[in-house]
Amino acid sequence: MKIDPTIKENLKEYFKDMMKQVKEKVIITSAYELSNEEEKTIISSLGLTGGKIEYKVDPTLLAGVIVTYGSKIIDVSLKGQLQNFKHILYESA
Amino acid sequence: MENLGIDGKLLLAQLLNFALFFVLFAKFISKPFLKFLQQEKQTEKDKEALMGKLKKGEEELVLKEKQLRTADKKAAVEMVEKAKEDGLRVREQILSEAKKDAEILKEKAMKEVEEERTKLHQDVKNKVADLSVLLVEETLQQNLDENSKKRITQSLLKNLPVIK
Repeated sequence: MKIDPTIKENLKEYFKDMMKQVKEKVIITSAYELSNEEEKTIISSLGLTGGKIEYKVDPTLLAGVIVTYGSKIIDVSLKGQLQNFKHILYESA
Repeated sequence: MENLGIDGKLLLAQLLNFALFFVLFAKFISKPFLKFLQQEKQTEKDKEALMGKLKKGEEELVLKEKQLRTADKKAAVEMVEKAKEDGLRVREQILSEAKKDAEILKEKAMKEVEEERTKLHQDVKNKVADLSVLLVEETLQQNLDENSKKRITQSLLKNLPVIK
């Protein structure tokens, strides 16, 4: 199927922008509503300079946060630590 | 002599007659008769000899038959003995193979039992780990207040890596 080159280029640019937005989108999930100080601490610790940041609350995390940046996930929640501990128990003799 | 009733001439004639008879008998009859008697005697002897041979042959046959029967019996006994030995050998072989197969099956079964045991042990351990962590989570969920959560969060945030 032949596509008009101009439309093809425009589509390419559009998808690139969408991917960029997804890549640069940051979701911070915490166990409780974070204060401004805590949010700034997180942002400065991660080295995030710009982009959209979304905040979510998930009480099941118990404590700590989970940061989702594009395809990367950084889990420093208490629930995550307990899950790691569980896997260590699985692998122990 | 005439008073006694003996006639001399008659007597002489009888004597002559007898002599003539004797000569004729000796010359013409006795030889063939004797020959005939000898032949009969010989025939009897031959018959006896033949009978003896036949009897001997018969005895030999009986002996041979006896010997053959003994040999056959011996051969039959040997065959039976050999068959018994072969049977025993085959039985031993079958038993030995069956024992080997049984050992192999036993080892396989033991191995499977051990594997199952290990798997069960691991499953139980995993279940215990799951339950323990679940209990801890539930307990923390119920007992952690806001301040504790904040303190823990502050402590965990120190482990945040830099993304860019």
